[in-house]
Amino acid sequence: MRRLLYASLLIMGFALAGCAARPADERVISKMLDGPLDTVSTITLYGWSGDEKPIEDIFTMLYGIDARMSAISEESEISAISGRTGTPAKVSKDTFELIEYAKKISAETEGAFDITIRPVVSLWGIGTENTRVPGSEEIDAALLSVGYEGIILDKAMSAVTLSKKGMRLDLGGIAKGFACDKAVEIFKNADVRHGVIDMGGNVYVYGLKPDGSLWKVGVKNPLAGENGYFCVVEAADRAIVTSGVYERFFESDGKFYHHIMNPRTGRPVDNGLISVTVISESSTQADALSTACFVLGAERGRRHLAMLPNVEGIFVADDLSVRITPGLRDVFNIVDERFKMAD
Amino acid sequence: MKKADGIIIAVVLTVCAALFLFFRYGEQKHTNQMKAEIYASGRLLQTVSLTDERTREFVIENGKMILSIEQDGVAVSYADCPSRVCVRTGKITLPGQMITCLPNRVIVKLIGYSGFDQEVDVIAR
Repeated sequence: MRRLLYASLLIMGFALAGCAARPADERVISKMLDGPLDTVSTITLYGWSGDEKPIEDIFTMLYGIDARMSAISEESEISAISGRTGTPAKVSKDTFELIEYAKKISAETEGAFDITIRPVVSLWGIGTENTRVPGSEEIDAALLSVGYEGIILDKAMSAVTLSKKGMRLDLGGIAKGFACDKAVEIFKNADVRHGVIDMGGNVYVYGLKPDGSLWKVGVKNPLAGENGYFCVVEAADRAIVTSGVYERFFESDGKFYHHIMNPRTGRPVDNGLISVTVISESSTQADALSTACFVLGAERGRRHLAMLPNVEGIFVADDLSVRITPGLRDVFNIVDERFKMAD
Repeated sequence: MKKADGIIIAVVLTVCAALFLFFRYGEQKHTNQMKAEIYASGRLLQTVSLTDERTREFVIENGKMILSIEQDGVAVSYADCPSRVCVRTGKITLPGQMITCLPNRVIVKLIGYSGFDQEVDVIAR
């Protein structure tokens, strides 16, 4: 009898403890793909009752863009253009439009963003086994093959010609953004209402969160590891793209060299910035402008963004001072107190 | 009922109450601070907060895995690899514990939360 009493007491107790568990909430589908565009893409649908087709379609689109626009694959359209200086290469509509857009951004930013920087990037080899500090003469020689003005576009023929000897294209600074915008189109066509697209850190927050609030997007903390963020931006239907010196760099003779090259000097940008984030309705634009603004510097970069509608920016300097564009004031919050607003 | 019975009943009830409070508040706080890191081929693919409580499917370069993410831990519920060592590992529940899938080259690791106060939906890098 006594044993029974104790046993039932114990069972009651555990049942009570078990009641503390919460039920699962709404349905979320998240899928991740490692490979295309040399990155990891994660697509997440919130409160989604449909099937996984939107995500599958995005993955198929990613493989397609990777095949056409990779600077590494010898089969790609970009390699076909790069390999035949002076001769027109016919390319797909997507590739043509992206090159045309990239050239436009280059012109608007006075060459701060330039998809012909490849010869300089290869020379430094930052992030590869062949990293080194090249000599001035080598850099000058490589710079002769750099310059977006040398890209000749024939819209009627959908053909691209590189006019300078040794010129090469690299859409690495814009292709992920382009793919992200294509993913947004797929979301729209599938009537997705709430979602997050993350292509290797190029983020797009789609719609509002299922509870009707804005998404909270952390921006990578240059002082912390993979998952640290120094600020939070609240946004909806926006692309958020960051360029930072921490992505790829090396040190030689006590000097720090990072991968963001100034197309004018052929050397890593050296203007005191360590990270630039651009927030825009277009991920292609945000991708290109995050690099361009990094090269332009905080003041010129902010002036450039101020001319564009619905485009905002966050500039972080090496003294951890932070500058933002006016449109972010109410949706921007620093969470690591080592960072301070500059004005 | 003897006096000893009363004491035992009181002890059992106290233990149950303590257990209830621990599971209701203590452990929840603990799991709120845990995240699962998912690595493939040595690269961090994603960090998932355990409070998100959802089952996720991952298609990773050379294979497919389904992770079941619960408040108190993470388990691999399906993997298309031949050995299924990762599935047999069961649920990991403590920071630092890992599930390894050699054929798919995937590692799932639990970490204590190391960020700041404000949780975010995604991180731009």
